[in-house]
Amino acid sequence: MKIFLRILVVLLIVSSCRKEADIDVPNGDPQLVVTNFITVNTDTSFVRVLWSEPIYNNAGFNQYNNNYKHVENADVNIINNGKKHKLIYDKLGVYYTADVDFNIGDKVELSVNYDEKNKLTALCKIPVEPKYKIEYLNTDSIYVDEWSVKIMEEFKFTALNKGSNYYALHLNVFYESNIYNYNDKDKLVDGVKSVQKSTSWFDKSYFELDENKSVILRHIKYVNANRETDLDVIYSNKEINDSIEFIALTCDVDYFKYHKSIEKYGYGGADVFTEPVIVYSNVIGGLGVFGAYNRVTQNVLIK
Amino acid sequence: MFCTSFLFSQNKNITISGYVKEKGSEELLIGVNVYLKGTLYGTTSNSYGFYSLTFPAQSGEVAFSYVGFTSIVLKENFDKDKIENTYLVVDNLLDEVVVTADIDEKISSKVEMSVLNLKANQINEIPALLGEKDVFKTLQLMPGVRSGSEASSGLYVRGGGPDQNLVILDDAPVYNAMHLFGFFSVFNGNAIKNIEMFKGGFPARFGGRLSSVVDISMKDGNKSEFGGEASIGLISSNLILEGPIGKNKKSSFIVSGRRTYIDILTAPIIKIQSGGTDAGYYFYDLNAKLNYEISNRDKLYLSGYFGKDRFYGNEENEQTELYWQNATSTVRWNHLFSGKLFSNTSFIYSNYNLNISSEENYTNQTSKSSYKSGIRDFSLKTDFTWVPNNFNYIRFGASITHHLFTPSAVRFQNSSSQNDESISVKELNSVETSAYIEDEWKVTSKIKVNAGVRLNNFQHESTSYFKIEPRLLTSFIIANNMSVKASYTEMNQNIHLLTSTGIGLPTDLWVPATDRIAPQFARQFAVGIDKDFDKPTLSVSLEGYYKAMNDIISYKEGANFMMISNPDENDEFNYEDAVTVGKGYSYGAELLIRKKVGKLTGWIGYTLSLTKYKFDDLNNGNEFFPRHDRRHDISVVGVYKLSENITLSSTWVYGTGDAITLAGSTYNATTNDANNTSTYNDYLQSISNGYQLGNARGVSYYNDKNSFRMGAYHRLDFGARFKKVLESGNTRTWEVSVYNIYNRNNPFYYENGFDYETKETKLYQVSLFPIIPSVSYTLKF
Repeated sequence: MKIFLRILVVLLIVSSCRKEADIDVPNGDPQLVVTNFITVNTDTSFVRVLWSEPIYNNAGFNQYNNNYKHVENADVNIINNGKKHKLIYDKLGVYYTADVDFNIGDKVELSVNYDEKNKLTALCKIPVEPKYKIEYLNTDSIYVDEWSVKIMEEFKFTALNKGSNYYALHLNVFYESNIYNYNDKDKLVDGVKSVQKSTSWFDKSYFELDENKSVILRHIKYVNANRETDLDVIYSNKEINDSIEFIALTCDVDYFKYHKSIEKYGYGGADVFTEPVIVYSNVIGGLGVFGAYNRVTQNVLIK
Repeated sequence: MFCTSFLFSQNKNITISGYVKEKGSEELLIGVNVYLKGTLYGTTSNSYGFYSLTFPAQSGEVAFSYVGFTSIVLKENFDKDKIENTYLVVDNLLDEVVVTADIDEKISSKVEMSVLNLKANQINEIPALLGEKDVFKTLQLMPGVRSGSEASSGLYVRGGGPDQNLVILDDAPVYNAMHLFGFFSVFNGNAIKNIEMFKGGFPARFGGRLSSVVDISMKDGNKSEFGGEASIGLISSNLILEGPIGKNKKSSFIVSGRRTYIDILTAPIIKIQSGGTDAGYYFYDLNAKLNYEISNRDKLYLSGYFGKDRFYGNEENEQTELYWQNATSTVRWNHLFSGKLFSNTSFIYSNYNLNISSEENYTNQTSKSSYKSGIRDFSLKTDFTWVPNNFNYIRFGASITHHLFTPSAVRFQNSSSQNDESISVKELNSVETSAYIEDEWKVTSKIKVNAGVRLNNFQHESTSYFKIEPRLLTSFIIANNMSVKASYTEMNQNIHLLTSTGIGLPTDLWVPATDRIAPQFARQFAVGIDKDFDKPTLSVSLEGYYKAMNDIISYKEGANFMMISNPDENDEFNYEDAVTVGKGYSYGAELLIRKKVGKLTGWIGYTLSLTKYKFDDLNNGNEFFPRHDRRHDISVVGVYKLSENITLSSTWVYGTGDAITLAGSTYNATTNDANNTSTYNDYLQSISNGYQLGNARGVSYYNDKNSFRMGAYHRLDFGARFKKVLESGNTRTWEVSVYNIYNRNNPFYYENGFDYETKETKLYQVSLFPIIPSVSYTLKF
């Protein structure tokens, strides 16, 4: 398709003209943006409060540097079971924090007040602990191109919680790694072996599932296989994971919708073929998210 | 109120019937008004030129009138049934006083509403981009119809999408009626005889789409003499040949072809711009039609269309090609059972396919990849027209269509690894059957009703949908030359178009309704008032409509054609996961003031409308304006015949800007750090390294989907045609046209750009077509 796009671009360049738009740009007044995920798994709540930034007519701002301004003087509170917890802005200048105990089923409110014009609220509910069954199915390899092979590990996840629940499923991988050395003849030889852990992702992470419903999770990895697709060879090169740390989260609807929209955001608006993704927010009076989750982990052997 | 049947039922009824043709060429004429003067007995010729008029035996005058032709009157004693062909002569007179607008020619006297009629000459008289006459672009100048984007031929009718239009060419559906990504429609204006478009008030004989039916008839071919027309324009050339086959005037043919030479014109520029790539684009189309009069009662037609767009590019080690093509063919048999019963039976083939292929050659290996998609139909349909008396005009018929969908098929081959990975998509087979009956009933001298029902069944694998579609149109004459009308219709659409952009890209995929995705459904109410004026001869039509649509589909946010067709991401094609099902509604008012005869002809159209869609998976489940929602739409078209040989024309269009999604601000969106069990202490320990909990990224704040309006669109075009009869008897025509005469920079799209002087991000507008003059030369022989 590249060549056709190139031709189209040439045709457009020849016939089109580009100038600064003489219409009113969308309103970009700064708004409060809050991020907070609460859980029974940890005692400390971290609330991040930033300003949004106008895209247009905003000299010096670069969104790709992620240099959004922190909101320092806000009144941030979490109300749980009728008890109000005031969060303190930490000295390092990134989060508002407080120790708050949460229990399954708690309905929690977050409020942020900066001034009369800028204040927000949001609600969420602590979900039940995830109950599930995870099974390793198989590993397959698919030729991609002359340089790489796609390794695909498949798992079957079955939801066991009652009713319909939202799940976020992640993993960390453990693999044995060689640190290669060169010998005196400049030949590559095995060195020290060690078990490495790294963060990874399934091809899809967010699901709404009824009890006893299953989904297939795929963990995809690309390896340099020198055009070999034989699994034995790849195994011998120690490029297959030994095991994974499976991470299962039940989450509330806001956590789910927010993360799903962020997951899709990467695809949206990148070209004329794709509509932009609108990031979900459950915050009233501002942007961002206030969500809840419940997390458990389990090691799953592959080899 | 009195009943006409009572008034005229005393004498024995007789029926006169036959075909109405143009004298000389014997081209069948569609929509000719045939009526008994001084009475309310009247009818019109159908799409095959057939008419049937029943009235009490008497001495009287039967008139045949048709805009652009001299009316004729048969004055005799009509005392028995008669089947006879009638011939009309082209009228070149310009004085509108000469042309009488007879009773059945007036829109106020017709039961139909939301219908647009165009003849080939009207299309040819209107100035066009690069001189390319275009059926769809002319239809876009009518109220209730708009284009997708600058210069696009896509049709958006009363809030519906471009997939909701049934485009039929001589009974055959055309699935992707676009050339060059929608800049031109596939229909060669020179080969077309008549266009009829229904925006609502659909009679029961039409079905299968929600928003419109565009019924296009090709010319039949001159039965008297051999002739043709050749034209040369800026980007394409046309040739039409037509003539009789044999000497007995029973058979004729017409062949027309068109090819662009954009590839030849742009090749040097592309070579320079792209560093030596041999690349280009062209399209061509070919129309052919053959007809044979077996007897006075039987006619046979064979017509076909073939069109292809092709992009190609050849680099040192890489050859790539993209083409899409339409092919249709129709075999039709007209049979006259009697003067009152006419039938047409058609066997129809339609095929659309898209092919993208690339081949890379390196020292030791060759790798090939290809992508294919398409839809192919075989249909058999039969339609009957039965005119039992002057008060009922009954149509009934049935059809069966087999659809074969091949939504995507991807194949990779590599010579060195012997790897041949094919994503062999199962072909999707569906069968659609339908039957209908409708009756256009003159209830009284002032009330007409067209009532009908259409039954439709769609079978896809084990899933079947059976639908009953009621159709009702009524008109009531409330004063001289003035009537009020109302209609209610229900429509179902069993096939969906997956489109990312709505600008008619060939990558749009046709897919069937399945057990997970139901057929689209629409119900539409319309009310209107029509008024005809005699001096000047004007017709004024004002309509209001409300249309509700269910089970329409759209790609989910972030999904696109490449995603569902990428073998790397999917084991097999599964479009159902990539789309979301929703609903929509549209309402509005349309005003059309039209002048069909005289030196100055044309129309003024104005549309005020609002359209909203709602999908669970889009815009967080909230309603939004689709991109094509347009609050105000104005078009003014004028054609002035300065003399017999000089015609001037001009169009001006104005439309509210498209609804698009544009961000005004940006913010930091952080996801939960679910993979790690970071604690506050972890965070404190790593804070000096800029550590934070979770993954942060800047995202755009869009407010609602499509909540921003592009700048308004407006443009003025001008054209002039200079005709001259040469000494040889041939006619040559020079045509000069100017597109976008005041060089308006209409927004095609917006993009952000960084201004290094002010160090600010700014919004830039990209416009496509500046002022574009064009010239063409046509020789008719």
